[in-house]
Amino acid sequence: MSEPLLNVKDLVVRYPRRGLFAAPPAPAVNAVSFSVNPGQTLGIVGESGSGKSSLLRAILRLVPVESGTVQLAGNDWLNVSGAELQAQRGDIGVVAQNPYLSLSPRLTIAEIIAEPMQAQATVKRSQLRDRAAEILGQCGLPADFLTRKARELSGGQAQRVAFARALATNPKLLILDEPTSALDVSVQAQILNLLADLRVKFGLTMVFVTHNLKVVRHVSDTLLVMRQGAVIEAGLTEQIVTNPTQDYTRELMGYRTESQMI
Amino acid sequence: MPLIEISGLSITLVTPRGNVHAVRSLDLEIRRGTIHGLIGESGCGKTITGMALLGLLPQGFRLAAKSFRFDGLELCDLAVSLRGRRIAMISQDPAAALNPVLSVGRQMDDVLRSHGGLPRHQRRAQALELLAATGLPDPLRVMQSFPHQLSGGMQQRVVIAQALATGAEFLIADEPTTALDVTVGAQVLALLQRLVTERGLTVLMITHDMDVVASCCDTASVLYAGHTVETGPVKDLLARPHHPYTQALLAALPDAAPKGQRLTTIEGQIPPPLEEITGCAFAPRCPKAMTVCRTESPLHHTTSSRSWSCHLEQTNV
Amino acid sequence: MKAFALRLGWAGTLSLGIIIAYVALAALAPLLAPYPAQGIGAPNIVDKFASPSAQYWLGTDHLGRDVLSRVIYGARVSLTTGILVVAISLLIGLPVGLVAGYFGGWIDEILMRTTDIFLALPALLLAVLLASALGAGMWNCILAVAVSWWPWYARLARAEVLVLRGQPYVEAARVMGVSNATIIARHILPTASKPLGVQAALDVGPALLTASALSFLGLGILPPTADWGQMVNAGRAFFPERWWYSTGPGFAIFLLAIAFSVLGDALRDRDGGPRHAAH
Repeated sequence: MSEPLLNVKDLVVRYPRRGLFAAPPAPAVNAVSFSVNPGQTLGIVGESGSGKSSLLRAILRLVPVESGTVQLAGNDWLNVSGAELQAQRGDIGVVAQNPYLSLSPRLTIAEIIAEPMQAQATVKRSQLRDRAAEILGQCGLPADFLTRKARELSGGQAQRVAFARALATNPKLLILDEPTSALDVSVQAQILNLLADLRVKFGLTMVFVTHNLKVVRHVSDTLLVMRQGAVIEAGLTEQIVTNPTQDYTRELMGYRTESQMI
Repeated sequence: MPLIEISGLSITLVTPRGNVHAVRSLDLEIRRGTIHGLIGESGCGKTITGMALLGLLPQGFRLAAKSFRFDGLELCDLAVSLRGRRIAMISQDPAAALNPVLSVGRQMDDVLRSHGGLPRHQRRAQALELLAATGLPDPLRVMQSFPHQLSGGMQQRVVIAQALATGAEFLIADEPTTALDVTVGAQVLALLQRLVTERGLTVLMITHDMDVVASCCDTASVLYAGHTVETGPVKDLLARPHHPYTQALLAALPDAAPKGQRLTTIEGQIPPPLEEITGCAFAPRCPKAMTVCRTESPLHHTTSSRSWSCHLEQTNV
Repeated sequence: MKAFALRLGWAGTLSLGIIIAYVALAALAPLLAPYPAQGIGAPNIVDKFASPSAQYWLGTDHLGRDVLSRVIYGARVSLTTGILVVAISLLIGLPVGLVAGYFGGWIDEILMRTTDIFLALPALLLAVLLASALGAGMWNCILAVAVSWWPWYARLARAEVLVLRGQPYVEAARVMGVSNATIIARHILPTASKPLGVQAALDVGPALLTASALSFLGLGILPPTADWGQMVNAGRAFFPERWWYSTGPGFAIFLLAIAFSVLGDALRDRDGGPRHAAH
């Protein structure tokens, strides 16, 4: 078996206490461990307050970690800092929930897609635009979108731009944070198909975070179910979905009654 | 007689750039004591239809209809709206519907006082009873609480209790579960179903979520670009959709295809609201479109329980 | 332009017009003043304390100089002082607020507690103390007011940055490994500078008012340079017999201050404007 690309062990995230005499709050992420092998997709499901967002933010080095380790391609990712951290950030691409918020309203699509390439200095200045057009094309939009701004696009088109930006630096790992939750059903289907195409084309390793178990079932190989900061169920997606060990997981399946569930 | 009878409804905003067609041709019929789902993607006109029923159309919008009746009353002719008396509404964001600086008890009392004029101690008893009826575990404590002290699910229950306090018999629920977690949303839907059976409430469930419709609605209509394209009992509608748009919408759901297989998508965009439509609104995106679809308005088919608008006789049996 | 005026309302538009008129007056002072030489300070003892007339519309002062000419020249000094005070304050306050808000933690603590020390003292009192320590003169006066002024911009800038720093597109840039300097220059500064710019433009009025107050106390601009505050003070000795001496410059200050205040309200009503007024 190959070495996992992302290996998280006993990760604890705790936000600072509110006041001097307040009791320390319960950890937002409580001793979470999991790993993702190259080319695999891990789904993380949970509701609000489950700790899935805190877990993501910790992996993205946006919030400090209390204890535990995160290894990215075998390297100790949490102890990378300064310029080295900035350079290695190119190894992780991120797509967020709402493209209108995660794409700068002031920049053109060309500038948005070029930004990570400029930060990582992976592409020569003269080739930025060609590369941006190429990656945008792979995400299903023609090059004439490059001169537009995010607010001129539909939700699905804007999310394609977010994918293009995330893939611009050829990341090893793609993190998707509710990438279809703000979209209509028919647009969601387009984005899920795009994701499948990109996965084949680039051999992507992905972490897909969502509250929607049905979406995650369609995309992920393995699955974590989180509740109140802890992992309550983990394993192969199909196994968990068809035969959950926790009642809570069954409730997450959605509004249909059990008889309707396959 | 159905409680709601709407046919040929159009809602238009007249602007210097032309007419914005929010709703083009909507038919809706809801029987008493049922939950009717109004399904559609963003821009289909479902929310503005709810606002029209409440008499809350924003300024500048023009409403026209062959009939727009509530309990046999022509709503267009009524000088006063039925909002707050016979029609109530719950929305996606319960926090916005509650006053943040007044306690729940005070807000319940305000509603009850303006609907019936019971003495104070009886109003209090009734408020407690209504809060309990929505399944809130400790009504006494909830009465003393302020909205921010309650969770989203509890806030939504308080809003439902307020709607009951007005004595409304018809409830418009606009995406009532969208802002809630799945587990909490399921409880709110179960509550609405219980109120329909126990109190004879009638509910219009406005949603984009097929799961919501499948789990709690009796009948449903599918909207596309301001048109009702298909109506019928939910189980039948979801199992055997007749209109190509409904078929495409169901095929686009992530559980419609196993992992690794592509989902069916609907190519193209909805027609811009400024555009005048000739023929069928869905024709440019329809995989089954024929020449006639682009020039002639679709035919209206009806069976005993179902109706749909399409040039094809029956597309999927 | 017409649409812009409409959105400001009639009061806002009128105020904007008044401010533009002052600027024009200041810029074209040598052409518009009836007695440019007296505006600069040349005495004209012969016509000492002439009351308003066709020859001297606003009368003359104790050295026989035309008050109207000196009020017009005073606009130059006042507007320059106001603009420079705001510019210097922005130059100090903006970087302080940006850095404090963006980096947070102990950097934020040190910078903002320092800012609080300045804010703890009443602004005018601080300016008076500084001006008397530095001595009178235009540059000292500007410096004294600016020192009591910049903390407001530091606060405003920090508040803007705190909002922007949490925006998903700014976080996205961080996660992509974009450097802090680039993020500030590219994502934060352009957006934050809009409300700050509006606030700064509106603050020119109050700033020149404060500078005039210093001049009134004899701590600002020295004669023979014409300054409204200093003229009001000089005329005070001859009030009420020679009422016109103080009235002309006093009315000039009054009208300009009102115009800035009304325009500020109109801008806030129009689009939310700056989140809080500095004073």
